[in-house]
Amino acid sequence: MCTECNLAFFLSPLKMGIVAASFAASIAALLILRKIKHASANKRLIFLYAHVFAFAFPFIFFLIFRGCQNYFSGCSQAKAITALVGLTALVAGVLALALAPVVLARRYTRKAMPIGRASRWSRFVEEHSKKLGIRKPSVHAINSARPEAFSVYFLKPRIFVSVGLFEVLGRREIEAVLLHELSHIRSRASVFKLSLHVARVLSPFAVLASFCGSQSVSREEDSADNYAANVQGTSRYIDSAKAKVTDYARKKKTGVVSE
Amino acid sequence: MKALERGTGFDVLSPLESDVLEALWPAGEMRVRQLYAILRKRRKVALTSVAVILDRLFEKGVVDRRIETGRGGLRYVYFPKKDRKQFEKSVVEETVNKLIGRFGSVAVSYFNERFVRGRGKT
Repeated sequence: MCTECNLAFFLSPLKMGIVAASFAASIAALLILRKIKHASANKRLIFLYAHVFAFAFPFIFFLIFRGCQNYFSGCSQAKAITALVGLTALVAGVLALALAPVVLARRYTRKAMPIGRASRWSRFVEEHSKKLGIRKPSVHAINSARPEAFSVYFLKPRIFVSVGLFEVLGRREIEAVLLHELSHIRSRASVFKLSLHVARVLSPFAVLASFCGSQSVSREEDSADNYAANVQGTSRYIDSAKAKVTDYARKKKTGVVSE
Repeated sequence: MKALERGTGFDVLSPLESDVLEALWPAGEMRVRQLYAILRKRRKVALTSVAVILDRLFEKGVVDRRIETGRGGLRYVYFPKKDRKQFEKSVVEETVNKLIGRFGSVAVSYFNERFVRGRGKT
């Protein structure tokens, strides 16, 4: 590697100014993300992706600069090729952020069994999705003894419920869980959560920024719990559902099942 | 099945696993809530505990399960893969094989002496 070539980049006030501005924009995007915590998931996603883009830009800028200087005789051709490689990497990264949720949704759906429209739970979901003014999610069952439920909203909304959940929860508790998931679908929380996980892998700032992590996710969870409690007129069912799910997970993990 | 519980030297089944199998064998197949209803009459037990135990037995290959559609959604129906005698036989086979694997000719000699003495006594 040409040390002088690297130094030329780092000693240039203009270039370092661009790098600093880009990192500053990256941090600013995270700060805005904190301020707009009550905004829609789409709005928050825009700032999340902006953060990742601003963080990646200096590295691509450096690559373009180095490519031009060291590897090709004609600078304009080198710039074009390196810029193409860099931009392709960036576009690929952004597409991955956007497409990963779609791929995951299809993977879950392939492994799951649809619950018929005539089932009590499909009717329940249909009734409450109309009240929420959202597109009716399809309900799928996962062949797993572990009680769990989650929702996915990419292209079309889906709710996944494990067989184990039907086993250990009562009727009102299952309704509470479905209301909780409908709330997530309304706020498009699943898109945000998945993108957040990807952003944390790509950007150290996002990892360090606790407000972009578990706090944001737990606020979504509290909001969904509150929605279920409001509809049912009590938090008893959502609380007992969560207690049973936690109890199962603890017993399965520790292997201690004495009673 | 008490003979195979932990603490007896065999460590094959926990007390709750043993109780679940004792309830499951006569019935042939059962759902989680049905087993829970039977077991709670005999001892203090939570529904989640019964569900965990059945899943554990399924992972061990002791029971199998199928999915059944009901009014309240989907349910597992569990059934033992072997009857009591077959299960006990498999435990004995596994234990003997482990002893021979670990102690080799010493174990084989012991079994020979034991069975020869046993035949001699009768």
